Amino acid sequence: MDQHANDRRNFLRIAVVGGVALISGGVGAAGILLPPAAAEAPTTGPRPLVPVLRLGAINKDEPLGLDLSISVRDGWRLRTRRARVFVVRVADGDAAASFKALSGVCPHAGCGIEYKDDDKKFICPCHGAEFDPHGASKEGPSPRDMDPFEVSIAEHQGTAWLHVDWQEFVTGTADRTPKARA
Amino acid sequence: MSDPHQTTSQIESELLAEVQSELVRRGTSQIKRKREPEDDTLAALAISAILACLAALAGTGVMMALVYTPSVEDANASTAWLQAGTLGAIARGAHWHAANLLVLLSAAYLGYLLWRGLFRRPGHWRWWRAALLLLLVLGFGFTGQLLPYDQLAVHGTSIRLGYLAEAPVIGEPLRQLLQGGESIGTATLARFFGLHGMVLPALTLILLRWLWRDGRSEASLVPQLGVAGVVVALVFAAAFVFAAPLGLQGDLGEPFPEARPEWYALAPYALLKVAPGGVAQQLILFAAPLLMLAVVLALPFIETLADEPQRLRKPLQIGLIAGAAALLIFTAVPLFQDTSAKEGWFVQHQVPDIMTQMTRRNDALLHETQSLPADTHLYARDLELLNLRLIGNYPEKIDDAGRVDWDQWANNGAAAARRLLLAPDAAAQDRARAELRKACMTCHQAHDKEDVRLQPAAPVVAAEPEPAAAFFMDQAQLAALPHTPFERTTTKRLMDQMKFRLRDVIAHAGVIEHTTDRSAEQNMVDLLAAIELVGKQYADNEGSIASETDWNRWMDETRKATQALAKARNPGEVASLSKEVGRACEGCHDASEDIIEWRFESLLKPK
Repeated sequence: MDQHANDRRNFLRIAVVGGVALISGGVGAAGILLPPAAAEAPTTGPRPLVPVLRLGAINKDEPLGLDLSISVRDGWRLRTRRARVFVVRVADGDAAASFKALSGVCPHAGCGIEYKDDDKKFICPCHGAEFDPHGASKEGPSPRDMDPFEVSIAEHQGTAWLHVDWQEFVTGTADRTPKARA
Repeated sequence: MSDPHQTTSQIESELLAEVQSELVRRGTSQIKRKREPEDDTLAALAISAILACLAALAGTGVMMALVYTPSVEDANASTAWLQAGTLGAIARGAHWHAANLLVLLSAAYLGYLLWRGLFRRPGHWRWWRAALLLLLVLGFGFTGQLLPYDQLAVHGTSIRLGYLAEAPVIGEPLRQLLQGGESIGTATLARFFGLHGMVLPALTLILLRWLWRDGRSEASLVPQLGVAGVVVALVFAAAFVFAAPLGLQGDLGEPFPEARPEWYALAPYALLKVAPGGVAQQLILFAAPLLMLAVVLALPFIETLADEPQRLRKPLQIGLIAGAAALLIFTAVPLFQDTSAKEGWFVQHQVPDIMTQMTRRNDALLHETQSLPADTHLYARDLELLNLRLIGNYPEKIDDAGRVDWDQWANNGAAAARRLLLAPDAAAQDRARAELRKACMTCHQAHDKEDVRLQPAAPVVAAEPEPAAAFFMDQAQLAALPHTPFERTTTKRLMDQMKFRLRDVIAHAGVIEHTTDRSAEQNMVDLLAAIELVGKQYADNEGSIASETDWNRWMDETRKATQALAKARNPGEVASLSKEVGRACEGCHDASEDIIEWRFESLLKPK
């Protein structure tokens, strides 16, 4: 048989089968890249504040770890997941400025930070970053202090509560940039 | 005449000899025979071992895919379900051990080719294939680690995707694409499962076509088959002895002190732990791996370009030894640190921490109600694991007899949790729950001064964020709605309007029990309109308020407080901001002599 004709036939077969596979794969990839449009534009304006704590429930310089239920879009559904926030009283009084709310997500690589009561410091168990009770970076690889949330005081369930403006920040950078919402 | 027992290759060489002599007769040069890469027995054996691993991985992988369900609720539970059966546990164990072995083998294979200089043309394609194989294996590791959706899976993937996002320009889009949502979740699982179970196997299958040929050798087939057999036997034997690890249900909100990368990623981990963020981190994460990849790919060309290729061999071998040594040292350093500090893999779980984790899951099981929630399996598996962690892990001040009891209770708890997980029906579930509760209670009553009940600790309420609306009231409606016409516009009637509309607004926020037929927005618009009209009626009240300036000041305060109320973001804010409006009104009422005394609290009391 003519060798060249054989080569051509083989090439054509591979080209056709491979081409079909590539095009169908591409359609699938486009499905991921172009998900169905949202039912409406994302809500603008200030994010709803999350009530976290009754005033007077915490002592000065003793961070308290709290779990927030945060609603996140997860593909085809909304899901609630937990997010950690540490609240610490930095001064006496019931003004918002007397409190600090810190994200429990380590600014270095996004691990969960823990507070060690005995050592009076925050420690990230992953890469050993350490922070003081007010969230300032002390040791380890963290490029910045712990991420603070804005706090305000408003009524919730009949008494004054501390509310936080919960959000996520880009990890690994010295600058604090809020994470773009997907 | 041809001998009927001739083999194909014998015929082939005879024919080639004929062709050659014919060509010589016609005066042409010798035909060029396609050059084959150097035959190497050890390389062929390595390929045999790799192929055996791939085969074991494919078999066990397909089997697991028949059970595994990639969703946040089901991934961990379906893996646990698989693991609960003996055969499933062996399949998953074999998959785990074969995967780890494959990383070692494909790295060793690449290293061996480098050592022997087998990247040289015409063997350069074999070299590139070996590099591609290692990349594919790492890709399998990256995608496969998330699938069990335990704590290690979500924390590891979260960290890796976070690092990926730090890559210049393409980092963040790539992370979004892989993650498929705001956080690691079901969308991520679906993607990783698709990549791990379809895309990467398809690519491996394509590579296999050539890998198969790389494994051919002139040497006897027996050692090759022997190596493959040993590898498969080893992998399954290991699965019998050490089960694949499966931790607590993945939850980024729960601390995970064990977070450490896979053993083959410990070296970069050790570097990242000490490297400051920014440039150094970028070098370790991206520049160094990309440079290594470039060198690996370019190596056949580099040698061709060199004047005396043979002289490159020694430096390459020395470099290989140095690289392997550095890899070993940097792998060992974090391990030594963790063993001495009892951190990471060697962390000693603290009893109070375990108790907190147990409480959280017990609360979710709703022990106070009659029937168990539909997602009981999620908590049952975790409770079994947590109970097992209590065994041999004693609180301080406990004597030897106490320790025996402690282990017994923890064992009972774990067994009950397992029965809860595998309960065939609701009645069996109830029995298992009762046993679990009993195991916990017995221990608590023995060790706590007071009777500790399995009730939610509830130190603080973690409320869910308010639904999407940023404001309690629709701002567009507030701007567009006309106010309801006032029947009478005396100051007294308008004051009544203000009072009742304010009452209806706070009723809408659920602060007081009161039904109203107007929408919250309509009430707000009417309230603002009434304030505007009253504001112009100083003349009506001359004498009771000292001056028009005072009157205007009070009205202005009331207006401002009301406008702030219109921007309340949630019922709680409506409650607190309406109090401000009330305070402004009270100020005016207090300042005036003739106007009736009025208190905001009067609105809060039901009639």
